[in-house]
Amino acid sequence: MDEDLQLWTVRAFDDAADRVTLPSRERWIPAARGPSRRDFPIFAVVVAGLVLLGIALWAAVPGRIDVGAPASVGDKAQQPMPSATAAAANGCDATGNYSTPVVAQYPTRNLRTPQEQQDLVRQGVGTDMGNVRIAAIAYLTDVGVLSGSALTGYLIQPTGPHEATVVLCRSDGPRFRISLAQPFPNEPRPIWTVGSYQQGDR
Amino acid sequence: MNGASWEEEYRATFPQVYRGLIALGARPDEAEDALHDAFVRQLEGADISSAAGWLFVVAMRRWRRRRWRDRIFRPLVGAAPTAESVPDVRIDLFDALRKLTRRQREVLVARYIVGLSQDETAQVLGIARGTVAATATQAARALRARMEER
Repeated sequence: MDEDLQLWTVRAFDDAADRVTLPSRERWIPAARGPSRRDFPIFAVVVAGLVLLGIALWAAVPGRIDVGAPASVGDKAQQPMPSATAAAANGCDATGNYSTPVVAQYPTRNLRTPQEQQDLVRQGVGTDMGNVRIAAIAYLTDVGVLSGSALTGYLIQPTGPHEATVVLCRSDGPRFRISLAQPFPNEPRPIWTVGSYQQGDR
Repeated sequence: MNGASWEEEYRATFPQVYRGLIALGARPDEAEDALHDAFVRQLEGADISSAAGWLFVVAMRRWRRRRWRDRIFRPLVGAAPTAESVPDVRIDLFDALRKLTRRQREVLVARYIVGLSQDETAQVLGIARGTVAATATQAARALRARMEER
């Protein structure tokens, strides 16, 4: 840059810079501040999004801890399923007193035939813990305690990454607590029971 | 650099970096916010060697990011500019500066408003020292021609 241009540039920028009014000195350092006015739209959109998400989850999850939509598993799963509200109204909870001695049947329900395994996998029982309710109904129907009875409530409590306790309440009184686990978490194997079911009083 | 010495450095370089952001096209409130963000960022542990250069580049990036976000969210706000967000004077040189390329603007502002040396400018803008000199000459010539046309 030649001297003339250099001189012009320095002078022009100095003059222009001098015309910029600086904010008062106390505003140079940021005060402790919450979301600024300029952040507000983003903040508002994020909050609104979270609220909507919360509402959607609240509306979509009937048992609050029961995840996933029920999938059909054929006749065994055609039992009428009440809402979580109905479940609470019927006292179908996991903390109730269960009769002793515990009646234990089918301590482990192995899926007996390859066809049964395939059916359950195909019908969505597989790896999704949200479908443990279906597996529980299938199991209890299979062992004969739910046959011909309507359910008035259910509750699912995850007890581990691939384990859950399911409480089912039968319309005529008894309720059942059943432990389910998915023994091979990384494989598309059906959920099966590893414990027993317990029959309780209302 | 600890908090106290950083605040000292920051206060010493605030005026020229603020003016640099205004020259690049930031509104006063945007320039202030960008500098505040950069100030806080250093306190959070950024490692810097030249306060002015670092502050200029970080504040410039913050301002550009904010302006980009504003373009997306402005329809949601629908607010008219406040007195605080409008520059109090129109400066012809800065208007002409905005007609140059981004690289030319940055080099001229870094050199002649923020007061960085050629080496510092090259370092903070991530370009070669020779490029700084060539760009500055070319940009100054173009700027002068534009100003003389007015």
